[in-house]
Amino acid sequence: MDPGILIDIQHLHTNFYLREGVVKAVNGASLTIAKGRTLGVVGESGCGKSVTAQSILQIVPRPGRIESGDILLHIAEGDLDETINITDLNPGDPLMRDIRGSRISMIFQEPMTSFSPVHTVGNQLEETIKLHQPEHRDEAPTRVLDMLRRVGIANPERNVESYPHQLSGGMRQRAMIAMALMLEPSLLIADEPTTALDVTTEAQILALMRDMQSELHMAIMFITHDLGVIAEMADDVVVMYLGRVVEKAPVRAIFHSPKHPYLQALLESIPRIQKRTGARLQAIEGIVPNPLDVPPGCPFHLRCPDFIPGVCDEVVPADTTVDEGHTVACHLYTD
Amino acid sequence: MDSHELSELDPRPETGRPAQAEDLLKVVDLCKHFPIQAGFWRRTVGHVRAVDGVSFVLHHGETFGLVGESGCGKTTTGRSILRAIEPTSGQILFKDQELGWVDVATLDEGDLRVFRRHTQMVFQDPYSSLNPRMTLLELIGEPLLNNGVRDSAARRERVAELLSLVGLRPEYIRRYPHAFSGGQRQRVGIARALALNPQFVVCDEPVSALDVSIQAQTLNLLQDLQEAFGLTYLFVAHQLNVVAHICDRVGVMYVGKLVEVADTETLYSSPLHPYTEALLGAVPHPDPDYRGHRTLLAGEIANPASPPAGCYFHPRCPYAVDECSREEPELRELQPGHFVKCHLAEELQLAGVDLEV
Repeated sequence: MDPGILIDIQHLHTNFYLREGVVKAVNGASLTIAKGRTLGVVGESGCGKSVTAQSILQIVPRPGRIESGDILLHIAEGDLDETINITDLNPGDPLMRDIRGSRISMIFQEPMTSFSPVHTVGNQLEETIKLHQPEHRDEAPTRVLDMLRRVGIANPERNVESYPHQLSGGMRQRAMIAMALMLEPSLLIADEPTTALDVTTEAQILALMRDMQSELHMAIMFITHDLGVIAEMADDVVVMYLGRVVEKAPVRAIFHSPKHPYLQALLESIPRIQKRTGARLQAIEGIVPNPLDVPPGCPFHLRCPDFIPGVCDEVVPADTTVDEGHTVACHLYTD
Repeated sequence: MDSHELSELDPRPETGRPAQAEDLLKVVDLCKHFPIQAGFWRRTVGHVRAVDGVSFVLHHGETFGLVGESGCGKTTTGRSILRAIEPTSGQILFKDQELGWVDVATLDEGDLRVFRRHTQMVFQDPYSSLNPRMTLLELIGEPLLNNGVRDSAARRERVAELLSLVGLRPEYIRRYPHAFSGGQRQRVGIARALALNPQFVVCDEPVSALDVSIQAQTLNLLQDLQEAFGLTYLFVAHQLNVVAHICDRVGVMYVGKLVEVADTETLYSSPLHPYTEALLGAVPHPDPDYRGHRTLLAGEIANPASPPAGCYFHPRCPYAVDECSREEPELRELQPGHFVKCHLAEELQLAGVDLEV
């Protein structure tokens, strides 16, 4: 495995077994997360971006489960240099519990997902140290105060005694980040962390995440539907549609030379701050197909302006490399 | 108080020009204060000033945007105007197509029913705003039934017509909301709002809950309908790019007050209020070459239950001087049609955003 790679996901399939049928939430996705860099994962609701993240942590909610594929985690610290295949582990495996929290942690759109409402913020942050590093339990209170200060919580001595509901939305988001970073993980998974925030608070939280990343040299997997946030945060980007990765590229290539018709259309459809002409937006026609009834061939072909009959509706396109580090899954680019 | 002349209704200085032919709505000093109750006896211990002295004018056929962050009072303003909630004080002068100029705030039951035929609302969440036990025929037909369309064949015909108008297949008429995606449900909500041919529609964050590709379809639909039926929109939203796209004029709210009003291009390219500048600077640009250009505003939004003295924005304002913490500025018309509530508006050189051509 390339030493610069932290996570290497190959052909991941995660399914949900519902009474109505099987939803292939992640349908053969492959992607890599580089050490110390930010991978943006972008797509609309139901594209499988959150389930991919849940698969990495083995926290896919029932009735979902990882069906097949590999999630390789590369651990290199001092003399230790090993690769763990997360899909080989049981969700309850002690090694998996060790990975969660101390090597990979996650933050969510709604901070109360991470917090218990009946314990103080300080207690909950100390808990992470007591659980994962019992030998350091004496230092816990000072480390918690220090972390609260680093994430910009005003008056940490007082707020450490607060219950989560007593903090404002922005402060709660900061406390959640503090908890996720307590054990200095090598990967932070952020699932729409700023979607519910106002723009001025969002700008503050994104700046904080960037600062903490350069301080701790961690990788970030940033999941969002907001292309503006992707442009602001990501080094590399994967675009997902209906459980599949349709395009992967460095961030500038995603915005300046998008290849997949879905990505091109998505970028066209964002309203820009521009001179008003009364013109209509370039909308993508139709809707995302029902995940229980995914069309054969390319998942986007029903809405695609460049649809090739007999090809796109029959064969699933393979990844084609169009430039260095830039791949696209579309028949327009295959020979 | 049926057909008053507008000039008799004592308009405030900031919107004090006489009524003009193109006016549809004139909001004067609108307030909505929610009581804070505490203790065993639920005594009122204070008020949240959700909307605190808001005045603006809407013209026929235009889209007026109200923007601001959560808790700024933009939604409460929209709802008070339709009397969906009772305003605490202020005038809401509306040129109803049947009643003439009326003050919505003081309408009696009967006139309110008439007024509500001519005004409608489109909600943010297409999941909670539609009754899951009603078919599209019942959902969209309900306002028709309530307003005297008793003949079920006529109702069915009108609902089918409305469905095709908003881009849904009339065959879906017997289906329930759960069979539809978020974007399609929002179309149902729009069809329901249009059932009685309203003059004026309050759109409360109509695309915030929708995916990007569906947002574009919905915005296009709203624009098409506006052109076809001469609708006037009050568009409440927090996404500044969406507002720039769809609105003719924009008002910026901060903690219950309007701090700036101007036509869209002027507001975005040359804002006069520091808060508008900060909001524009915080919008994420879908272009990685702009990275790091976002301005960071310190601090948090003031608490509308105990706002700071003087200008509510002064604790976060990078330009604040002594006067700002003592005295509340007036909303002044600095250039024709450009209103701003800031002591320093004449002196500051604020940055807007470059409008892409």
